[in-house]
Amino acid sequence: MSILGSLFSAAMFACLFQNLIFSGGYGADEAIRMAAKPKQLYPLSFFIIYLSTAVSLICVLLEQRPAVHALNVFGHALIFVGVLAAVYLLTLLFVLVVVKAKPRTVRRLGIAAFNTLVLAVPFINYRAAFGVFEAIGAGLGAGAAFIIAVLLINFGLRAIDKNESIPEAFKGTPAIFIYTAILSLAFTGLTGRALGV
Amino acid sequence: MRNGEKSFLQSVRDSALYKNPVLFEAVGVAPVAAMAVSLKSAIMLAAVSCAELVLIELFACLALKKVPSHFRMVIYAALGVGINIPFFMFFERFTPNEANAAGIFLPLLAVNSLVALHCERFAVKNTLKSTFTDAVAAAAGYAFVALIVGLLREIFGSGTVYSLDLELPIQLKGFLMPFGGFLLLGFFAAAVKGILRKKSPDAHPEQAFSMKEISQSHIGSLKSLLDADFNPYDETDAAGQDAREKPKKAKKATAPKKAKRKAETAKAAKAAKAEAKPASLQADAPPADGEAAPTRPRRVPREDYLSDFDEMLTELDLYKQKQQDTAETPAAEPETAPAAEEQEASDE
Repeated sequence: MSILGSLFSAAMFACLFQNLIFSGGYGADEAIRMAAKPKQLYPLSFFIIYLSTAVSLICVLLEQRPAVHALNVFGHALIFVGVLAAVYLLTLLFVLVVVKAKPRTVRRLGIAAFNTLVLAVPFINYRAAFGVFEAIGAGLGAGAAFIIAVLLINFGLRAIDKNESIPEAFKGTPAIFIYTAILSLAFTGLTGRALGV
Repeated sequence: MRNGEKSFLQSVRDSALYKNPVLFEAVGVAPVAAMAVSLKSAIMLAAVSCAELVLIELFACLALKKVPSHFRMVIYAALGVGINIPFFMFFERFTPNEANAAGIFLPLLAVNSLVALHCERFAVKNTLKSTFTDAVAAAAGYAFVALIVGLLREIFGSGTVYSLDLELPIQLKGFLMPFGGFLLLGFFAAAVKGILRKKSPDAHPEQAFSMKEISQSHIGSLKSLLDADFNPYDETDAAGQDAREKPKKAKKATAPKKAKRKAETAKAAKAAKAEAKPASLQADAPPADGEAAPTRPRRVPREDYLSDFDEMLTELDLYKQKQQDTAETPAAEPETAPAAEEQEASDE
């Protein structure tokens, strides 16, 4: 029960209470750009969930070793990027040889692997001293956070696209940024932080 | 040589402004929104990003053209970490507070999407010279935005400039959070776009961010739920609602009239066909019995259609009455009837 609890609480933390995209800013560019291409959402999200969970789990297992745990931030960065690259290459091999996926799918895998969101998860695990199940929860939550972010931004983009009364200077990315800021403000409210003046 | 320098600087300036990676392409937004909370952190971000962008793009142009794209992604990340480490050591030694404040974002710059996108889109397809121009332009544009956003966030959020206290009465801490960064980016992008459009009205920087596929659905079932009737402003819904409600009222009001005139309508239509009718009546007349019914619902609001129909029936009644009157009047009088008809037609 405690295993499920720690997994679920870490997932909720990464997805809602500390939404990695809106409250943390990680992977915001991928979310904004992906929101403009909704058809690609589900394949990319699947890859992001898979990669963030796998990398998070492997990195937490490596963290159990004292030699790795004692490294500084950049030592950890090297380890995490190395793990990410290894997981990516293994998945690529599987996707190319076994699944024989189309080049488009392979490209998506590359975009999903090397972005700030997937690499941020092991860093958050390291800083929050998460255990194995919490790390899995954080990985799943990061993927869910990405899907929520893309869907919410996508709805806003459609509204912005249809709205003729937006001033000319605000059309396009300015309106998207302001809309994302409002969403981000809403999710910041869930973190419980007070904005003292 | 001067011409070459001028054109290089001009192309760098134009690319940095009109195709700004952050403001108009929404690339590399995450580090600016989350990390650039002060001028010092913005300088760090700009330095690392510029170095990464120029060096990795040049390397990609020189050495990675023949490497498959899915392997290039790994090389960009590895090079990114390699370039970051000396910068991190430098910042940790000389500005330890800022390096700590940057948190995990400094190592995360290794996988900045700005680098991968420019390398894949430009460096592996072009010559070294044009790649260098693109890299410098993108780096300049990115640094420009990071520095301005960092400066403004430091002033509004902390009340300082480069750690010098401005003694401002109010500090808006929200600007130090990602939503403050997004908000500033939005207004900054609008300001830059406004200035650029004023300078050259033909420029459309917003086209850098493609929204062509925005109407596509996520998946079939979701499409039926969300996409088909998605209309967040209720503009046409409100109009549609009015259009649906008003005819009901109109129907109620016109129902007795309709019942009375239902039988007359067919007669009137036949009479209108047989006799020469005013042009306006012909235009508004409903389709005759033999005519094919329209396959699509008409776009004309139903209320207007009913009121027109009522008017038309009234006019037909008047017309019949006049015809009967003219038949009953003596032979000297007929001249007045056509005159009245002409008057009516002109009124129409």
